[in-house]
Amino acid sequence: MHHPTHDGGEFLHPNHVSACHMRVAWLEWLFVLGLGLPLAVVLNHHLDSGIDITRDYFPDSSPQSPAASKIQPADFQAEVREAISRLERKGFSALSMDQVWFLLGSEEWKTEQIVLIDARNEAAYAAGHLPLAYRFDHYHPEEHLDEVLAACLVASQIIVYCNGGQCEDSEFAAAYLRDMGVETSKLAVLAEGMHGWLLAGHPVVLGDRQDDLIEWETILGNIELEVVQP
Amino acid sequence: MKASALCVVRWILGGCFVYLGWVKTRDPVAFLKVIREFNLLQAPLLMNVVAAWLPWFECWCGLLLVLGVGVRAAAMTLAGLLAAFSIMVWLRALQLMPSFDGSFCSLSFDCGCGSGEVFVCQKLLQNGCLFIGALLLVWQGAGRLALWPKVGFLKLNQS
Repeated sequence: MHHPTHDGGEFLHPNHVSACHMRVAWLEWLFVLGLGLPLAVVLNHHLDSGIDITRDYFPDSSPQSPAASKIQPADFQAEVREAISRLERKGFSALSMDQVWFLLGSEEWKTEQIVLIDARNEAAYAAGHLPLAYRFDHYHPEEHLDEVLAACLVASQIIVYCNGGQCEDSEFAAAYLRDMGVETSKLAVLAEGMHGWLLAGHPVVLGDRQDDLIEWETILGNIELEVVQP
Repeated sequence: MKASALCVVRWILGGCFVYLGWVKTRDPVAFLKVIREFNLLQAPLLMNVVAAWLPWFECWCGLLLVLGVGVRAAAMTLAGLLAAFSIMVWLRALQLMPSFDGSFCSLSFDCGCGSGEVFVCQKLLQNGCLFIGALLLVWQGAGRLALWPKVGFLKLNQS
């Protein structure tokens, strides 16, 4: 049954309208959800940076503390202390910046008996990293795992770092390497991380890893010159 | 409400979700880390599913709104997501308040919304506006320049 409308059109009987509208609504829902969700699954699966649904990216981790945020950056040392106790619970040893700074001049470091692992992403690595550090982003292990694992298996000590403090990526990377067969006793984490390293005024190198040694020696040479000629 | 105004609302809402979803799809790991910080989902599988699929789904719903396809269902879905996001942002802000010296509205953090670090009140207001826009589309329909389907009550009898 048709009813006139104010703009010259006609209404269907309200019951008929309701039935039609419900049918169209169901079609819409089917279209939005039935196509949208599979599309999301497929796109994530085919993207290089996609998430592996089945993986636990945060192994052996407790829920984050409510204050785990960048809102209070002033108390970085408290974050570092918390990180050290977290590392102890996970069975990894923590190294201080002074210890790492001392190791960087050693023969073991130059011959890769001591290996550095940067657990941050590509952009952070490119912006500055410790000399001769391998990049190993545990969220995308396939990118560098072969190279890193080969170096780790022959090294006597492996030092992993990320941004330090609340950043747990170095711990997850260390746990990943441990699960891949690297001895836990060889793995250590720089608790202050890159944030602490830069706060202390220590230099970093840029660019590709193969040029690190030359760049590092140049930086050290400049520092010595500054000390001699203040 | 005028059909052309509904069209503008649809484009703004759709455009926002396409953009914010797209930003998240560029770095799903960063989104995953923010989800973990919220402490609402504990199971790794759930966190992964949300981080992996939600951004693409947001893009999809936003694209449907821009094109004017399945508008009521897409708008209702986005209204639901906006309500859930706003509650999560509010809860997260309450979690952070004890360790923050300033007022509620001066608190800012990365809510994982795709727009980086934002002030809580600003984010809630923005979500509120988008939520109202989504409800308008659910209630009033797609407006002008919608591709499919044209399902306003007044037009049903002509099909």
